[in-house]
Amino acid sequence: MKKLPPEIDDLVWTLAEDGNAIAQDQFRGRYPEYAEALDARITLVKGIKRAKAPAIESRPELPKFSPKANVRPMWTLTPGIAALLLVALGFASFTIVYFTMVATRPPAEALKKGPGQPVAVNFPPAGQTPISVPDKVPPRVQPPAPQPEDPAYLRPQSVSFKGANLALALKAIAAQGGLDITIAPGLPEETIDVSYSGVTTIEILQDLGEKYRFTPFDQGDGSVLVIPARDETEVAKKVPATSIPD
Amino acid sequence: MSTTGNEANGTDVQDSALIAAVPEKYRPSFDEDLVLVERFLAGDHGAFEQLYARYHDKVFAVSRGILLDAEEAADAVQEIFTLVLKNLHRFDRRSKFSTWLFRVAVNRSIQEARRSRHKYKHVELTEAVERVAPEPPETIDPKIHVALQKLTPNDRALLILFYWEELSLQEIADSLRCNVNAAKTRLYRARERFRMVYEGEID
Repeated sequence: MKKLPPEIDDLVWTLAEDGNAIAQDQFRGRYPEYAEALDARITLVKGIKRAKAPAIESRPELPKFSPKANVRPMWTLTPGIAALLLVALGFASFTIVYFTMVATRPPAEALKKGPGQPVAVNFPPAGQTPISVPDKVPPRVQPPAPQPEDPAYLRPQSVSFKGANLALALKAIAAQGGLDITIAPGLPEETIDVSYSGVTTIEILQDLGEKYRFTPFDQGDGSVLVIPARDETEVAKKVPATSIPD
Repeated sequence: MSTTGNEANGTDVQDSALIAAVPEKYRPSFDEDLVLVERFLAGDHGAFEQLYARYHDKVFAVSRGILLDAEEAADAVQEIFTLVLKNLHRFDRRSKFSTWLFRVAVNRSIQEARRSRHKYKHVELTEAVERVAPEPPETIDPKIHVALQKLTPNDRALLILFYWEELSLQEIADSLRCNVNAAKTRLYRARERFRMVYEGEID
């Protein structure tokens, strides 16, 4: 098929997508040489629109939402951008080190002397030792850098609840440990009595998980995702076996 | 869960009854999705299940259109809603919830499509024959299916949002985080590439 002039091409797309039969007929009457192109375009647009129905027929019949534990974060760097950032970081650290060395280099006169030669400051009176200044100044002893403290959720905590709602208790425990908690739907409505002392927040959540049938997934970024265990008998009742995806 | 779910359903029925009682022209225009989002963020987990039920099919359609494989799409849908569950507190309400959801769905499906493409590059040929070209459902025009397969995931995403979900250019732009002119240009290019592949002008 020969290439259409741009303005005719735009018109043909518009007519095919709009689906107005009268407008299409008028176009065919006015531009009989492009009638075939219009018909081909209408077939194309109808074809792609019709492809939706059979495509979504293959969907499972509303499966129960089962959150995934290890989902990659929403926005990830593409390898190219990551490589560029790495190169930039390397260059920046090289530049900083280079300029630091230049700034701390001893003056040229000092370099001309042999290493370790004493520089006489003054002739002392007889019987006294001459004072000498070494070329190299011993490096200053830096105070040790403060070690980063463990995050709160890795430090032992003490918590105690009596007659507390499970979800609220989990949120309170997480808040005390500085954790960001997300609870997936399906957590049982339970009232709990617990008391812990000297255990980390994650350990508390794991212990509670064993008792109340949920799994806390530590996301490693100060957040934890709580996923309740699935009640297989309930799922089997609600969802027909044929609709459960693999 | 059951208690929360029942309470949530009860509230929903009550809301719907109230809305239905008001003549349409006097009904305040409010975003039901936003109400559900706020309810979820306030601790009502049933609200999230309602959002899931409401948008499952649409998200599946977008994902299915980009991935071209029902099984992978079903898997991607669960990932997408997990991401939504974890990141709903970041939804800034500047756009509609559905637009934000489509953005997550499109991005994740494109990522999956790219990963699948790399994955299939390294499979044995015999295995690849079975896996690279999922069979189209019988009622899809095979020529359309083949043409869609030959496009990039990004092009497929644009065509799916426009022709299947019938989003406006503004909505497509919001979903792809670009301006309307960029969305228009990208859509028209994708459409033209699709036509050329379909009509055999390019392979």
